[in-house]
Amino acid sequence: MSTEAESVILSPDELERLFFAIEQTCVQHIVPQELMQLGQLVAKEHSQWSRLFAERHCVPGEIIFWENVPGDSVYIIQSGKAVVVKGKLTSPVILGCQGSGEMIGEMALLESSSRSATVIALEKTRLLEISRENFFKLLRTSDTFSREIMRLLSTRLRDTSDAVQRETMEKIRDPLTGLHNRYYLWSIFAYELQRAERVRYPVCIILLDIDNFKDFNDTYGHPAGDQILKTLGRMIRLKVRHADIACRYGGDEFLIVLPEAALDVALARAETIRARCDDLQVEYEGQTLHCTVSAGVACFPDHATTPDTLIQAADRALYTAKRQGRNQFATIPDDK
Amino acid sequence: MTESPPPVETLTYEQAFAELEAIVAELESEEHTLDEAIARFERGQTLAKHCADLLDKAELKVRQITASQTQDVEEQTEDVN
Repeated sequence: MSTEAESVILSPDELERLFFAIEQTCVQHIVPQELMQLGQLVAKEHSQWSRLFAERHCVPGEIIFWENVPGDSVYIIQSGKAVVVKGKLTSPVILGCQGSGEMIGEMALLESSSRSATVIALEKTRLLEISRENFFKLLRTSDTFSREIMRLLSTRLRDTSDAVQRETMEKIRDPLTGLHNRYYLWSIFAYELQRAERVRYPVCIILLDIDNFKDFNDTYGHPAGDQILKTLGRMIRLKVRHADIACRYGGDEFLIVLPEAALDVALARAETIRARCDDLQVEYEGQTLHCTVSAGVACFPDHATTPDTLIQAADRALYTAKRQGRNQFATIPDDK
Repeated sequence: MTESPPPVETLTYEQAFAELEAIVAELESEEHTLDEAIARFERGQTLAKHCADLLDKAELKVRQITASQTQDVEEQTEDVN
């Protein structure tokens, strides 16, 4: 008896291809420890709860359930083996294999969502099938079972939260320098200025650029240039406050946003970074590398009031610093 | 807790992620009834999905998360003022 929509069995050829795909993938055991224990626990106490279970026997190649189909049952594998796949069966992504004592399909029930993958029996497989209603009944009758499920839920949610954090960091960080990237800057900049306007405090930005970086790269090569960017990124990270936003703005351009910093504070910070950079000696493959930076400093709301125009103002100041001989900082003159 | 939490879709990334972290910590440390745990879990999953959606749409306000990530660096920071 099956509560899943229909019973579909792969042809011998299709099954053969599936085995081939499994062999090609280094299939790992995907079942977390908690779940394995859970399946074993339920299987062990089977007789006690036998009225809550139905048995389902699958032949090799039989689909136990399909991806994207709403879940109605949880299964515990009593004997046999199944594979968990995602995507089209003609080109499946193999997620892993599951065997005796393991539970499948519980997340769709707990999340009231569709199945996140398709599960196919690889050999003659005997399953205990628990309907949604009985699954929750079981959860309520057995303390051990419900504790295990809760432990599972918290592990799953921790994994999800870690994954969100990881993806976020990947998306907003420049991998070479460890600073934020331009994408992050634009996602936060307008918001910072709005907040500054509301609370009536200034926001300064420092736009930094390595002097003659193209010549540097031509002389020492790009890997050496990358090393300089990396070192500079680290130095900037150490020279900014917690509230500041330091970004790699372009190739060799860095932009630092300093909320609640008055112009004189920002100018002092620009000078600190410039001087520190001038002091830096970077050892790289037997060579000692050195570079200088120029900086342009602009202040909200005195010099500009939007992200775009503020960066343009800093860029103008940077140009002035470059024109005046590099290795220095400049800002917008008072009289414009 | 009689007050119902705000709808997830109205939250910024920062708010959603902070709530998600709080739920994870709560599930890991406090005793719950099963129904409460499942409800918290469901809310957590919805928050995570919302964060992922915002990330795709670039509507980020992620100061908190990055602040905690850079903490270790900051701790070694020289006095810069």
